[in-house]
Parts: sequence; structure tokens; C-alpha cells
Amino acid sequence: MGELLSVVDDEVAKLVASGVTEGEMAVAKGFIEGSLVLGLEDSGSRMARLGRSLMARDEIVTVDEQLARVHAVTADDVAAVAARVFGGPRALAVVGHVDDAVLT
Amino acid sequence: MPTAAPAPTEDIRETRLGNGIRIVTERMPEARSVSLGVWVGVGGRDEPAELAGASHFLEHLVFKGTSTRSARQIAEAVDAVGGEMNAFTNREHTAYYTRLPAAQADLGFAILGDVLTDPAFRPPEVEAERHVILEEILMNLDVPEDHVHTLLAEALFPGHPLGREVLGTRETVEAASRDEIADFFAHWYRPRNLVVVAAGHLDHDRVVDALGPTLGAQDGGERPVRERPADAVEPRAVLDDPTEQAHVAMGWRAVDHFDDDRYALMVANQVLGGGMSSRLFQQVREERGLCYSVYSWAST
Repeated sequence: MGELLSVVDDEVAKLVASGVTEGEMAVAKGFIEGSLVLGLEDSGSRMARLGRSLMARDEIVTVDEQLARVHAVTADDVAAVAARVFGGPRALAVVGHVDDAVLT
Repeated sequence: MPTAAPAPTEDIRETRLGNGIRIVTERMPEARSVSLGVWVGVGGRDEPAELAGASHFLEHLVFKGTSTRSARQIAEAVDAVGGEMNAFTNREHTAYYTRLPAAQADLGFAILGDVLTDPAFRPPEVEAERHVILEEILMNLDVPEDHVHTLLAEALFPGHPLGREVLGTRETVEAASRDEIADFFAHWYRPRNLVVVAAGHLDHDRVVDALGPTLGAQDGGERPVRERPADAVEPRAVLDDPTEQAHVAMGWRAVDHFDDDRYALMVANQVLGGGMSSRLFQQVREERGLCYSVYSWAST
């Protein structure tokens, strides 16, 4: 358990300190864009995409706009948002029998 | 490599009826189905503490029948055309949806329109469903990989309704009366708090006409007013449980759904723990063999 927590904390710290590589950016954006496109063939996913956007922001965002917004993300943007989010306090939740001393 | 293949041109139309209800359709000429969703802008965070779980309880009761249709008639009508009808509740909204063969789409408009304007809330059905929901709560407590997320939400939003489990607690679900749930419905399920979305092989004007006699005939309503949670988080929430495996969730407060950083956050999440090539999967599972499952997610 101690090892797990420190590995995850290290990965988070590395993301904040060094950001992401161009290769990782390409895979991550490809995944997000590809998943969005694959979801277009089903009427249920199209309905849900519009419904979520209307509930969250009261607006209709087209797939093209969404793809363009994902495509425009830069490695600097990712580093900035990582610093912003992971700079805040961390909450840790555990279900299981673990030694209190390893929970930092 | 999946890249941005040219997306088909979207044929989206919108009508706002005089009563404030918003109807949005997307026409998919190549589809054989129609999916209809009625989205209600109320969820777990909008409930008073003593009625925690009301949105979800209500979601279950809506399908239990109206003054003219029984629960069984609704289920049979949808089954008889191979359709599906379901609903879900989350912290900020509740959605009811159905997917049907396009030729039978009118059935979906009629049933969803009816159950969302004239639910019967018959007392024996309310009591039966109360037991179903209590079982659902116990199921969540018995599944540590779900329960750890309940604990994490409580720790991230201490004392705020966003931190509460959408299902409510055993106490609140046992205590909620039939009339309290019916009042909750009467207050929030009104046109100004509803959005209707349909996608598939459809005609926009026909969808608008089909909803006129039910959802189009209601009036009033308002969107809930929501309070931002305070910044403080609870650093630890531990349930000492004699399971074979430990389940661990870490969380940070992120950005809201108006924030321009939300797309960058999606990418950051994908790199960190979004799939089998992600850093966490590779480090924690593949390199060190510390677990079976590891992932990250981002929500606005």
C-alpha cells in the first residue's frame, strides 16, 4: 500500500513538474477524438451528447467544435491545468484493512 | 491512428415552446432508430439534507405508472417493439430516455410524455420501490470499488450536497414520504427546468407536435439555484473493512464545466490514467504488478 501511494504521488508530481511528451499528446488526443467519432453512429450517444451539453452549459456544442477544442490543446495547456488541479489539496479514500501508518 | 475523420454534417434543430420547454433534435437520415431523452435539471445536489436521495427515488417511481398506464403496460409496450427505456440520476440532473425503431418513435413520445407529466405515485408502488432502493444502497455498501467513490466524494466536498451519495442514505430513503416525493416532482419537473432531446431518423416538426399534448401543455418551473462548495477538503476517509483487497481513490478538486481548461484536463487525465497506455497503468500494473485495476477520471 505504501508503495502504491508513493508511485501514484510520484506520477502526479512528474506530470506537474515535467508535463507531457508530444507522443503522449498524440495518443491522448487521438483516443479522445476517436472515441467521440465512434460514438456518432448510435442515436443514443448523439442524444446523450446533446443532453449533457445542454444540462451543463445550456448550449449546443457541435461535434466539429468539440473536436477542434480537443485538437487545439497544447502541451503547455496540459502542464498548466495539471499544476492548477494537483496544486490543490489531495483527498484519499480507502476501503480495506490497511495500516494507518502508510496512509499519508 | 484514430484522427479527426471528417464528421458528418450535423443537422441539429431547436424549438422553444411558449411554456419554456426546449426541444432539440438531431436528424440522422441513415439511422433506423430514434432516441428520445427528457433531461430534468435537478439532481442530488439540489435536495435538502433530510430528503437526500429524492431525485433518484423519484426517477424509479416515474416508471411505476400514470393515471392511464400501469407499470406493466409501459414495460410491455416497449418490449413489444424491441425498444429500451431507462433513466439515470446524478448530482446535477436526471435523465429519462428511450430508444426505439424509428417507425415506433411515437410510442416513446407518448409514454415519456405521459410518465413525466402524470405519474400516479400509488402508495403500494411507492413502498415496493422504497425496498428496491434500499437494496440498491446495500449493494453499493457491499461493493468496495463503488463504496470508495462514495467516501471520496464526501472527502472532496465535506458538508456540501455535492459530497452526498445520489442514492441517499438508508435513513433518508426510509423516511421520505410519498407526498414529499410527489411535491419534489411538482416543483422541479416543469417546462423551464426541462430539455427534450431526440436523435435519429426523425422529423423535427413531428417531434415538436408529438410532445405538445403532454410536456407542451405544462407551465412554470425554475432552474435550481446552486451554491459553490467551500475550498477545504477532508484529507482522509478510511473504512477499515476486512476485504481481501484494499480499494484506494485519490481526488483533487478540478475545474467546473464552464472552465476553458476542461479540454486540457481531458488530455491530462488521458495521459495520466485514461487507458492501457497511460502512465498509471504502465507504472502501477505493468511495471510493478501492484494491482489488477488502476485508472483516473476527470469530471466537471
